[in-house]
Amino acid sequence: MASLILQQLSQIVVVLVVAPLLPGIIDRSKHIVQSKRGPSVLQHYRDLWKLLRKGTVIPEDSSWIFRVTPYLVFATPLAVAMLIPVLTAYPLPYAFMGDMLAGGFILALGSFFTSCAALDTSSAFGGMGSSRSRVVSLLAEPTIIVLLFGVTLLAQATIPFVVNQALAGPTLLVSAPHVLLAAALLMVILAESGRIPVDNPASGFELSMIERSRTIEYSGRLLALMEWGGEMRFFVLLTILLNVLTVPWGLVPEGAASPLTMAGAALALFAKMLVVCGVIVVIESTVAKWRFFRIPEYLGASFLLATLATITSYLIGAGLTR
Amino acid sequence: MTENVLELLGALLLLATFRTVATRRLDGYIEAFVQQSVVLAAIAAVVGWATGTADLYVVAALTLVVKAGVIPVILRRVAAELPTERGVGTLIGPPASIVLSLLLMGLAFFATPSVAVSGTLLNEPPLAISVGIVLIGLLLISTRRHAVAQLVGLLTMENGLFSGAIAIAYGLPLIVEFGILFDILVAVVVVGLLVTLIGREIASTDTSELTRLKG
Repeated sequence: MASLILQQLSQIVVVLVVAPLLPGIIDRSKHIVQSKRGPSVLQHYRDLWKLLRKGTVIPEDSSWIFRVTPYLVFATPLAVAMLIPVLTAYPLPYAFMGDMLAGGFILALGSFFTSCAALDTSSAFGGMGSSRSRVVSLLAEPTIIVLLFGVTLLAQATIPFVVNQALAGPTLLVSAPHVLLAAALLMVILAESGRIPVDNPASGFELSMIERSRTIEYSGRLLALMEWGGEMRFFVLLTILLNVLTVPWGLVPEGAASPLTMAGAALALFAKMLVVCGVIVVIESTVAKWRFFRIPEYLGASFLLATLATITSYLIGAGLTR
Repeated sequence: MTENVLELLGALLLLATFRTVATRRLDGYIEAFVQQSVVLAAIAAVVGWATGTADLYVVAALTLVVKAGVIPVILRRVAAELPTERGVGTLIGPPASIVLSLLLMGLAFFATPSVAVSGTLLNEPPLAISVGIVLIGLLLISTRRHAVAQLVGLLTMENGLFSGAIAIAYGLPLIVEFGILFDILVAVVVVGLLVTLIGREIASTDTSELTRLKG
């Protein structure tokens, strides 16, 4: 039992520690593509360290929501990390607390409170940012719902540890619905974590920012928590894409848990994430941020992929029963 | 394994078809058609390999040359000669078109299982995809006002029929296939000429302006 708890903890620690590295790598690679040197891949750790030591300014008129939100944003990805296979292929004690729906709701909770906190300060940019991010989430919602339908139809389960075994089986791994679902999820992840073509994470222009304008009033320690939480959210979403929906390889099998195999699983996950980061760098270096009113088209396309996946999986009778 | 590969190619074919509906630019239509034809050629080659039909390799090569080579060149040339105009495009915008074609696709998927087809290597999905592509081509023809876009709609329908023939009967006899390819090539040349003439005559390629019938 004690070792199971340790394994559970090590999953959380991996999420906590590795998360700031991914945006650093993406930033650095993007700069290299543009023939610049770019910041070190460790820049986001330095930022967090700096922010954690600085003082915090809290707007006078803000309520408790403003102060609670950073902790929620920080805690929700960690809670989801307990539900999904980050390192182990077998469910850990807390894995049955919730299924994929629960994970989605927990992540949505953090996002919801971020929007509330942005409105709480009654700053113009905060209101604009939260209304825009609500629009993006609203448009992503149909895709996510149909995506869950599709995954459930294929795998006949909603528990991530069961789903990944079913989807990576020989009949489904390269089947059309599976590939379409993965593509749809990647598009939704890009939209939900505020990346190009929906939002430009490197932009400092207030009128065009979506994700960043929601945290514009935060400073010091609270800002560090918000940013770290955002990075962990991205990490958790990528983990869901890789270890639940597409390629759950390199996970620690049942009964083989040791510090060495755990580290190996973490390395495997990291290597897979590097591939996805490469894809993201290609997308962000070739595509410009889309106009806000064209975002429905982007998310419409992801909805299309998810729906096609569901229709095809339904009619070819894919899934475990085949 | 072959089944999986064909399924994937079928999905790619669908995506390329949806791209014709989702695009706003004239180039987009042509690019999407090229993609569609390349995927179609790949499907023909894979089915040929799986069934040991040598004819299908020839068909695949011909498809590549004619549909992904010659026709796009002609279409681009026609498009380059036309007066550039903005706003001639669609009766309904891309998002609505995508939703409509999704509905058509669903219709095709639910309607085709009732059509009993026997003796096929791969049953319903490829046939359903083909019927769906024909319907989407029809949608393109009826909702796009630009003459070149309508032409792409026609070609899309033909691609759907072609993939349907492969799905049901491993392709048509080679001589028929030749005939069809030659036919659409001539059709594209004729329509291209016609479009260029229309463009010169009324300085627009908006087919909704062609209202008077002259003998």
